[in-house]
Amino acid sequence: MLRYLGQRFVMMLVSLWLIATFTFMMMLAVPGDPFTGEKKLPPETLKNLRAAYHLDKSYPEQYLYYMKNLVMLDLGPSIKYTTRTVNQIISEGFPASAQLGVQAIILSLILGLTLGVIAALRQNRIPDYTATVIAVLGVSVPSFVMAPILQKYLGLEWELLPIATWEGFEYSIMPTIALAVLPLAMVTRLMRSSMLEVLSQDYIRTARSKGLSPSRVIMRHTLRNAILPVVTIMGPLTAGILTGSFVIEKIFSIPGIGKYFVDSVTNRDYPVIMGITIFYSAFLILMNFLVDMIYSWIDPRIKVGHKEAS
Amino acid sequence: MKKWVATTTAILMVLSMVLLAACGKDGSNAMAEKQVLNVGFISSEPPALDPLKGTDEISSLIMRHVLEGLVRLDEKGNPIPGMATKWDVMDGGKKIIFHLRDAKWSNGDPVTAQDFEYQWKRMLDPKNASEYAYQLFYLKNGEAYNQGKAKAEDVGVKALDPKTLEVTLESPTPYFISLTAFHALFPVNKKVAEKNPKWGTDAKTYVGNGPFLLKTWIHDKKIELVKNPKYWDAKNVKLTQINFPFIGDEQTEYQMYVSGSLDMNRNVPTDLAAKLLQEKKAKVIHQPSLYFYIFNTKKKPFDNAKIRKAFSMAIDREAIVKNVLGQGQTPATGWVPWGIPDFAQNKEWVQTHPSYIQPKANPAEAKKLLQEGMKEAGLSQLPEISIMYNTHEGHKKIAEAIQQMWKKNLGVDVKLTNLEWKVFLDNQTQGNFLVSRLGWIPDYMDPMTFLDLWVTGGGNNHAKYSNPQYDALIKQAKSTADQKVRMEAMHKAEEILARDVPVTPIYNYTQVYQLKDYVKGVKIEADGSFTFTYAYLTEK
Repeated sequence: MLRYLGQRFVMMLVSLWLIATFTFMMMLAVPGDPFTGEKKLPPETLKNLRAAYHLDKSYPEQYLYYMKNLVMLDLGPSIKYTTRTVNQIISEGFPASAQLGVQAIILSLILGLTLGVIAALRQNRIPDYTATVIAVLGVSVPSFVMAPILQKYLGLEWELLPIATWEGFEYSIMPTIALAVLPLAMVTRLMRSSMLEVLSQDYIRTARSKGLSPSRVIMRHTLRNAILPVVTIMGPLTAGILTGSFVIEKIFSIPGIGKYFVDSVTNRDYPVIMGITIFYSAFLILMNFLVDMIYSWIDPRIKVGHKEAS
Repeated sequence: MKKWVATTTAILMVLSMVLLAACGKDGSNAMAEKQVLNVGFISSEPPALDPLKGTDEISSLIMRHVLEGLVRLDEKGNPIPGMATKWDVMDGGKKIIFHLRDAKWSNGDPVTAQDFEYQWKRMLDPKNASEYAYQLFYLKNGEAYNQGKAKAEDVGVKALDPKTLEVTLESPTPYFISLTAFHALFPVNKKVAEKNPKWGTDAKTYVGNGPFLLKTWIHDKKIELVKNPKYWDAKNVKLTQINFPFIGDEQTEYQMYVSGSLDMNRNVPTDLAAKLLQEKKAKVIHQPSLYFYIFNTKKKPFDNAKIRKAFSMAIDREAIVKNVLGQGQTPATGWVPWGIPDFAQNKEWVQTHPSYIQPKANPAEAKKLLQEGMKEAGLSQLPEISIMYNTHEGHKKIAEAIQQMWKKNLGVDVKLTNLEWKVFLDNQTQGNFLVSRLGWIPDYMDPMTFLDLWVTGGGNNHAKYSNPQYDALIKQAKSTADQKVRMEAMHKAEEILARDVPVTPIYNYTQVYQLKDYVKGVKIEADGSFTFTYAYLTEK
């Protein structure tokens, strides 16, 4: 087990290094730099600026300089937000993004699993149809459409919740709902089909014929197996929610790091592009690792560390 | 008995009417008890609040409230006393002595001439890599120092004593005094900045000399300013607090304004602007800025002036502002937009010359010019022409409209090329285009900021236009403080642009905004920016 963990850790570092290197190369290949602006700067000023951010050096030198700092966990200064470092941007912005993401995941899991289970148990009846409609709507209505609708009705017309900004828990309710809609729909659909599949298995019939109570059959035998596909998608889904919430953060004016993910590319803010990409990649890699762990815990047939792993 | 009732009723009625009228009058103008203004203005974090680093509009807005320069500007853009009470211009406009008032920094230190000298040299110090260093290139040896070719002590700014600042310029620059109202030329507290170079990055360490203090700066969330009791004109500042939440989305900002959580909304959604203007729920500011198309004068067919002129003449600017934009913009009449003064005639520049560009297209004349131009250039047919613009719905719509106009009025097929912002800028700089869009916001309120763009080799001269006669006129205008001579030279230069058409102006910008009726005293500067220093709230 320890050996396996060690191997996984090395693999994670290698993946991160590869991502960092590719991002660095791609970033420099894109035309324009942080100082390309509508108003041209005098050449000397430009020279001073480029020197201040080490952009006057050759690409290999810049790369080595960046990697050296990265090892020390120093992600450098933001070029656009001159008073802040990338470490500050991440440490100040991530709590809001994380809170929003975690709330959305919890909401989508609780509701999605419940709806999925109910739909499967009441197949082709009203609860099933209701859950299916919710799932279809959730998948087909994008969050950037859902968000203004929520703002208009819950915020402006019925005055139940604040329209935007980030001052307390009640400010997080609407963005959480908007962000949770898609994963909720995905979890519902996945849970429903997975439940139906498990329910049709022989061992469930055997359990029932042995005279186990329906609730015991569901709780003990069905749920545990049916939840596996949901766990499988939780890794990328969690990372996706946390990294993909920039539209929601923008609409609800949430001080997260989502917007930097997009804006840093537009601004060619090199250290921010690198820093946030590496941070998110590390996060995604970690999530996948955790999911693998949870997976083997739920289903002991899947053993971590076995090469065949199937 | 009846008579008594009638008389009493009548008296009561009259009294109540008088009272109601009085209440109504007082009610609309009485100062509100709570003087807290919530402004929807900031779409994202201000990048920097130290004048050394702040270059954008948002940073400028906050700095203009927490700091103050030597002068401020009145509604027409003329300098009025700020930190300086008066100034003497000497030596044919090359030397200016500023006399400072008794003013204090928010930490109690006196504001001194040394603070200005320190900050200006700090701006120019090449080590500090300040983007706006060039705003001080007017100073003697300013540019040389920034290039490492002169020493700090050679720069033409010197504190003669704590209350007197001597400024020596490279050449007479009449707009330099107004330029000191620009945030890049604001002072910083020398003692504070020397002790803690990062003083400007946190509300706790921020020291200002403006009407407000930086109370809160929570990154990506909000800025809160409170009244500065030490400000020299504090008695006339009525707001106790201004809140600037950062709202990243126009629709959200609009909804917050409608719901009452904002008193002002500056980022009105484009699709709502025309409707709100019509319903008188929004107002419009004329910004002294210009939207134009650039012809690449180094590439065929636009190396020919007649062809350029033909394409310019085939644009129906009136249709663009009415049908495509609809936010109160006007068709451009020349190369200097509305709102820029002609200092010799004390009028707006656009009023002191004939319209060089007609709002409507002139297809007959345009076609004739195109044929003449093609003959001159020896072209039997035009090469493929493409309009390059950066990703933005507005630019796309304008490009599509002009594409149709050129097809209809000239019979020319035009392609559209849409590029991401920085890729677009890169191509523009490299000259990889035939026709491209651009907008220009003035650096200072003088026609020169629009006219010296087109001198040979100018950094922003993407048209690669070159005309020695034009260059000479701009040089002449830059070498004198005589406003009459300057304005005349610049008028002549603009006439040359009207003849050569290296770029073709399309329209003059506007800004649509919403402000609640109970907010009074908001000042809109000549350059279209907002100042809330003397704003106040009346009873709702």
